[in-house]
Amino acid sequence: MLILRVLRLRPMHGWAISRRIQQVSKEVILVQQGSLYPSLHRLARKGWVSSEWGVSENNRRAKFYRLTRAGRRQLQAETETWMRLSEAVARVLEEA
Amino acid sequence: MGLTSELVTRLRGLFSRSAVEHDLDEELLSHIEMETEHLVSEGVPPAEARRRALMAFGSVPKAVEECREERGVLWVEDTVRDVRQGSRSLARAPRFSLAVLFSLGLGVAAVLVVFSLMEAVLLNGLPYQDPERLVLLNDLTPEGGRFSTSDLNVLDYRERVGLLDGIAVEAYPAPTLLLEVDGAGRALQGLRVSGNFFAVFGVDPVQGRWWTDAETAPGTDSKLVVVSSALWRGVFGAEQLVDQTLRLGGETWTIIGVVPPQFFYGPPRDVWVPYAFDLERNRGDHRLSAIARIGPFADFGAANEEIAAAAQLLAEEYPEQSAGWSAELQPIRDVLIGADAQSTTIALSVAVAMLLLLACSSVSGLMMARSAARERELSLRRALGAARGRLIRQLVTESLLLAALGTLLGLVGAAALVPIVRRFASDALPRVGDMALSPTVIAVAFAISVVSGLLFGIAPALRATAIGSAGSRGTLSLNLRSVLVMVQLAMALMLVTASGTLYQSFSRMTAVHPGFDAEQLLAVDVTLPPDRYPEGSQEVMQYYETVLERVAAVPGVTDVSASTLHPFVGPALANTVGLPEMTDKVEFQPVAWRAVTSGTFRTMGLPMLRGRDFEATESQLVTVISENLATRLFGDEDPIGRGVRWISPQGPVATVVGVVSDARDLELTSEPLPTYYWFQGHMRWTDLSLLLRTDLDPQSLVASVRAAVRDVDPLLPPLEIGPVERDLREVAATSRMNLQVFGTFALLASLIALVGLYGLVSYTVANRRSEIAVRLAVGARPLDVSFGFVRNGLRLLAVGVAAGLFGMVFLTQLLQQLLFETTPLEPVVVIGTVSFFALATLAASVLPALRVARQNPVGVLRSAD
Repeated sequence: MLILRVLRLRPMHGWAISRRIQQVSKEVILVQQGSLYPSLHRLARKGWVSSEWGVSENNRRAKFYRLTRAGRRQLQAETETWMRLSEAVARVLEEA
Repeated sequence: MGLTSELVTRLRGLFSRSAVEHDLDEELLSHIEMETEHLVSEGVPPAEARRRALMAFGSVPKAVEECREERGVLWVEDTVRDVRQGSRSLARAPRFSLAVLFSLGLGVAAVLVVFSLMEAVLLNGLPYQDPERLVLLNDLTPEGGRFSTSDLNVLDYRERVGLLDGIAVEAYPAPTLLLEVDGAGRALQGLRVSGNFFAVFGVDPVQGRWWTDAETAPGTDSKLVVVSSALWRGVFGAEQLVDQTLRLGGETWTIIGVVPPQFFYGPPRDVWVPYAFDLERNRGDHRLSAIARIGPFADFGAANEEIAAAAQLLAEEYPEQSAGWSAELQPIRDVLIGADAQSTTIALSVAVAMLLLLACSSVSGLMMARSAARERELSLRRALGAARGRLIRQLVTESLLLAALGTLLGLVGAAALVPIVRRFASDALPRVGDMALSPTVIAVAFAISVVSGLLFGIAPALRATAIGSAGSRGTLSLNLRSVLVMVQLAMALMLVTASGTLYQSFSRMTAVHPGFDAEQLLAVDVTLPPDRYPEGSQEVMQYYETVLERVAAVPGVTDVSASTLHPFVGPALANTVGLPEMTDKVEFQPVAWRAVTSGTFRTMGLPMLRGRDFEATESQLVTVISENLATRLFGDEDPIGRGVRWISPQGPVATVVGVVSDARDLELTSEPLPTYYWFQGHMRWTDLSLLLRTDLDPQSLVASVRAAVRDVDPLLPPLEIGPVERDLREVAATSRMNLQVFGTFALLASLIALVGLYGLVSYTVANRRSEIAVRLAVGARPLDVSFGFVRNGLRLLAVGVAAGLFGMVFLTQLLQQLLFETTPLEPVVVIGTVSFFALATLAASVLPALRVARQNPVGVLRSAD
């Protein structure tokens, strides 16, 4: 879900995605960068992201991932589920 | 969209594997480089940056593998890779692969061919309705021999036996009829049958109808003929059947029906003519062969009892003709397919099953040896992280690959063999002409392939990949392999013994002298149409006199005469004779009889033992008898001048003027029949075989003799003309085929078994190389070391031989029927086989043992692990 969210604004290549996730999560989520790619490929297989080769900011060939329409819907759905879940958790925590 | 895009990715992943792979590599590489650049831009030295980038990324191969898995093409791709790797690893071990393919291909080809044969001969149903209910109805002579039946008997059976639904007959002799088309003659093979013949078989005509009861009632002589599909197509172009007529034997016949092409009853026939029961004929004149259908509410046993009871009743009512006679039923399959063909086919299948088993166990042994040899490789791969399941899958893929290739080889081999077998076996087995590689057979091949591939793939794969197997290596697999080799030796021994026995039987059979000189003898069958040559007429005698003169003038012909018998072809004429003073028919002896012209014994080279041959004319009723008949009738007394009575106490008495030596003139394997020779001048038999002796190659005379016979009467082509020696060879065809097939099997089996043994010993030796080297280094003599292996091999052989001989006891029962004057466990054959195997085993174990013993122990120890 994080990857989908990161891709919401614009297409990005893998390295940028991993940087972004690290930044956004304030370095809390520290994963091996290599494990990003299998996830990307899984998303591609499910049709939520599409990929194409492009040129990075540093003029380097890189594969860019873009959120597809199905991906946007999925993100929407997952976000809602997640929101509801965290609301519920928050309520439980407050009331307990 | 999800589905299509996924499919596209998968397909793309599958077909452009390298492109996708490359794509992935580049993507990951670019990531690492970007990370490195980023770090450099933050002031990290490039080398350190690269190190950190790689660390942050984690394992590249793992990421690649996981991405691949996510792409979802792993399974197919793995299989493709397994197959590739399998082929590579098989190609790296060509001797192993070839041995396996050879064994398996042979086994599969043999199974396919024999299965096709069985299917054609035994399994394909006979082309009648409920063929298992069809039986032959035989009368039994007072001695218990099967005999044909008579008109009055059949009519009584029809009336008195309720469990039989219908009894049809075929009348002897089967006529050869001359078809006249546009002034030329063509001989047709016919059958005289009762009106209900086809109804009893449950066969419908493809066109027209069968005879009605009225058309075949006793006393009628309808000229209504039923023709075969082949004749119908050949002569009439399969036109509609409306009042078509045929000129047959000088008479005009109307065609009423066409027999379906698949109808099968004995040799192929062209025409069937009606036989009307003859109420005047003596009950003792047995000249009908009867076919019956067991009714729907009866079984074979009950019907058989009823017919026996009815026959015994008849024997009491008509003691004059039937005293002592009985009757029995015989399944028609036994008659048409023949017990010989059945036991041949069954023996073949047992042999071939053994061969396949042998091939499989050999392959299994080879696989085990190979996986044992690869244990180190496999352990290493496991240690490096290969999943056990993956390794097993790879090994099984390898063996499936082998099995598939072997099966393919077998299929190709079988496809090549089937036409050859069809040609060679058609002399010996009925219905082989229908033999083909059917879809069933091909399906069987694939089943064999898959099952065998799994069988000898999985067991070794499981063991080889088990953790810790490296420590316990060798012991278990060695024992299992020893057992396999023993089984192989036992089965090979059985096959070799069987074929040795068959060979002995065959050579004894071919060594049997028929009693006359079959070489340089030509036989010409003549058929005379009854309109111009009435039975027993002067015209018949005149014709033979002229034709014998003409044929005698053909260059190369040194002697000529005529007989009712075409040696080794037929007809098998039989009757009974007795002494003039006998008053009871029961005392009469069954005999074979032939009518011959003067000089026939001389032409055949049948030695005259006493008395004289027939003269050109005989005023008195005289006979020549065979030696064994003379002994039966007169014991040690001189038969010359004595009287012999024909058929029954009312029959005519002929004076014996000569005794000839016994002859096996129809079959080689049975004892010569007591034979009574009629003088043709008295018998005046219509259809004779001309016998020609020549000092040239008999085959070279065929054309000129044919022309000479045609010259006498252009409407009479010689029916069958050929060297008697060829007919003699055909009589031995079944046993020759058995011999060839078993011989081939035995050879293959021994090869496979010895390859297996050789493989085992080589493997053991290889496994113990270091040990041997140590023993040699500390002073053991090479001979002693190799002797240990030889002893091992011989021990296996001993057990194998014991098991094989035990198995032979079972194979024996199957063989018994195929043998001639040979017992299945002939000491000569058994001893020969066992010594052959002992020598071969010695060779197979000595060779690898010697090789190691001759090695330089220091070199071995250095290279050893």
